[in-house]
Amino acid sequence: MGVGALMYHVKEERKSTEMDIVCASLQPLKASIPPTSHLYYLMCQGKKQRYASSEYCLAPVFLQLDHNNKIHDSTLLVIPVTDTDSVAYYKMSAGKILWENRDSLYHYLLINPR
Amino acid sequence: MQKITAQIFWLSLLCGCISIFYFLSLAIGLPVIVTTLLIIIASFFLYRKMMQWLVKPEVEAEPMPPKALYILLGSIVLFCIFEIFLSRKYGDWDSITIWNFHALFLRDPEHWKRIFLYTEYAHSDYPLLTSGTTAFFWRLFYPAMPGLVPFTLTAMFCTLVPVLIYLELYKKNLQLATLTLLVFLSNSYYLNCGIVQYADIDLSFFLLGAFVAINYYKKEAKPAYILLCGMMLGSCLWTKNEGIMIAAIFGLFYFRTFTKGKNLVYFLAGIAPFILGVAILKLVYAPANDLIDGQHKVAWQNILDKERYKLIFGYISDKLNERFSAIKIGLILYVLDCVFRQRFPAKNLLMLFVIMGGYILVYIYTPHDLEWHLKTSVDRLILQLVPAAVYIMSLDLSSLRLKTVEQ
Repeated sequence: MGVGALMYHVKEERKSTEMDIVCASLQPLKASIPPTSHLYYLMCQGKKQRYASSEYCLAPVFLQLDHNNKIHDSTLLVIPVTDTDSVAYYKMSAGKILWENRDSLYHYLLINPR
Repeated sequence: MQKITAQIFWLSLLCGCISIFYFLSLAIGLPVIVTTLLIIIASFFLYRKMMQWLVKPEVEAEPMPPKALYILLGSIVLFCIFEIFLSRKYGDWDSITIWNFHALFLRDPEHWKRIFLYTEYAHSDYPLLTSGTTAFFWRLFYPAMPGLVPFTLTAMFCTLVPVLIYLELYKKNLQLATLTLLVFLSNSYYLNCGIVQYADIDLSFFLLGAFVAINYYKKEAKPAYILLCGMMLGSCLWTKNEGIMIAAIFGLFYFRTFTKGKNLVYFLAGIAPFILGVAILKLVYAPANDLIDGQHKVAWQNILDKERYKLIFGYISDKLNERFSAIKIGLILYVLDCVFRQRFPAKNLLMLFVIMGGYILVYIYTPHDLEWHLKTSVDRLILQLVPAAVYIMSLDLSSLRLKTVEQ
């Protein structure tokens, strides 16, 4: 089992997955807010996978999923980089952009309502 | 009991011991160094006592025949290769949203209670054996090797399940024991579930362990096996919510055994720490379970709705065919054997059907969309019972063969 665990370590731990990319991009946000923060998450295009990755990467920050598609104070959006229309729409409709980041997969926005 | 079997039991109980101590130490705010020391002392004590109480010196003196040993070692190597080949760094959906997610919070002594803010998807009312054990090791080693701890834990149980069955069978019937290893090695769904860092294989191991312990008690009548069975059932209910139902049904089936003379004390001593852990978790910290919280007015309508039954049985049948066809064939052959020999199936197998009946009742009652609920869980619920079913059927068939040979 020990040899198996070591082989797993060599095979998997160095691999960069989508989760690693999301975590690396959200790391600056996580570092800049207290762990007791409460953020809202607005689900664009209904992908729960992205919400799951975001809450995993930001833990113990509480990331509350919003079902009403509404922008609250400190709402996080994770939008695919290909969806430039949504990025532009949310940037325009937001009152204030609190934080922003981008990687090869997603555009990350932390916004306040107008 | 052989020493290696006792060691397997000890290894699995170590997870229960670590998670209970760790959870209680979080609750009372003990420093991690004290918790670690307590865990080390408890695990040494547990090991000594288990070897003293469970290992029979005459069995220990009997070495495993080389052929049986090579088959065992070869299959362990194959299991390890398959597990590494199939492994995924972060597991799958439930490991990201439930098991490892809980562990991420639990490793943080200041903010661990924040997991209970989550009332959707995260199932923060789930018991903590798997996530508590992961959290303890993460607390010691994080952020180094974050995937290694949950992978090792889940792969360990995935390997121990068939190994325990093999060890219990090889003396009675080596061919049948080897066949059970092949059944697990050839089941890609079992192997896949074993490495995605879920808790279903862990639960299936503890249920299997409870059956093995009670069978030893039937043979040797030593109360230590009742203690072990209590600990195994306690581990079931400390692993998943389904484990609570499993422990209750098991307790009812063996009520007379568990309450006979001093057995009750041993049984309670085994199960009590886990009941305490679950009680503290559920009563003090966790939000209500989504199934119970969703008390809905249409419950009676659900019970009378024939379509729901059709859908449930349809899904169970489909999943049995799709994921567990070898086990289904084995079950049919076993039932035919019972009919042919004019005997009743093993009582323990009947218990598994009652547990399955309990799962079906939950599906009938569920406040969630039934199809979604079935699609996301029914195969894993069957999987929880499969190792015990394979063990019970194989043991029954091998005992019969032994009797026939003796006659």
